[in-house]
Amino acid sequence: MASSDILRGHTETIILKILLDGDSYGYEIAKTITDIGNGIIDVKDATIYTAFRRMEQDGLLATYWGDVAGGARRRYYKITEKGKEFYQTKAEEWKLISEILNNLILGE
Amino acid sequence: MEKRFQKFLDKTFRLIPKSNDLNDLREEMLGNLTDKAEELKNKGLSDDEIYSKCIDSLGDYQETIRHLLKINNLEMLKDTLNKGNLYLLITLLATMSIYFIVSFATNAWSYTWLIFAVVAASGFIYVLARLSNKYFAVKTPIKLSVVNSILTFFITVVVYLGLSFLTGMWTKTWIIFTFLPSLIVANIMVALKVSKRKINIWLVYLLIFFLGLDVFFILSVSVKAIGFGKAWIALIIAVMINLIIGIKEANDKIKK
Repeated sequence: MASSDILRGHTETIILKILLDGDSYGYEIAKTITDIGNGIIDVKDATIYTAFRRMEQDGLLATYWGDVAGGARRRYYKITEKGKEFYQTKAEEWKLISEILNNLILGE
Repeated sequence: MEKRFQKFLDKTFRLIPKSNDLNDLREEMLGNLTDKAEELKNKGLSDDEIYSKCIDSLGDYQETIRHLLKINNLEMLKDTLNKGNLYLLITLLATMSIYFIVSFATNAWSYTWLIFAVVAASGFIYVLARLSNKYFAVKTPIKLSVVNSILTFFITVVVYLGLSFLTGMWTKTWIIFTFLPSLIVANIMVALKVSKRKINIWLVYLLIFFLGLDVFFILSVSVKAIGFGKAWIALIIAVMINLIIGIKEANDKIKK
């Protein structure tokens, strides 16, 4: 299984993309990443927790407590306007970079 | 399963100071662990498998905790500095007023300026105390034993000098320093006990041996009839006590 090294630097963008489709919580976000990751990309909860905290500090997302799930409350995350702008910039950047990396690694 | 997670989280957050951020993280972790456990249960995994898979999926959560603690410390410092500016202004005005009032009243201008030195020194001590208080909010056995050992050393020096000057028995008072090894081992044991960690049996052996050494020095220096020639028996006794404890320990292990 690929290490989380591949995700490093992109965790925030990926989380923002997931939140663009609607508010979500830690477990669901981690599951979405591993599901789309097709068993090749895996993400640890701690990576997501740290990213949440950093993004909340930067005002990219807001948080609220949701319903009770088997004894514990769920902590939901919501993307802010600043978060949406940040995502747009990062997505544009990725388009350029991925093209260049493709050329560099696989050749034209 | 939830009880096992609770127990795990209790252990993880035991030595960490309570704050809203960390309580939130704890509750969030519990919620996500419960969700994941539910998913794995539906897949038909056993309880033990579910537990180890869930804990494994957490990854390096200590990193997250450290991150939060760092934010806390930073905010505390900012807070202190902001409040500090206000306090500084008040203190300065108060000190000036007291300085002038006392000086005009007593006319002792050559001494009253000392008020400033005293206030500055107290301010310095206050800031140091605030910072060290925050530092020790997370008590680890190592931090505790290092600080306690340094304190013990200073107290020993003070007691040595005090006793020596009072009694004039410089030829005997030096044995106080031979107590240091056993005091330091005792400090480490107390620190472990306070942090609810297990005390290694080798620390007990070491303590008993050092105590034997203390008795050896006390007997040989202060009791003329015994002297260095016979006092070493104290060491033999200490070693024998250790042997007895060791045999008992080994016996208990075999029984288990």
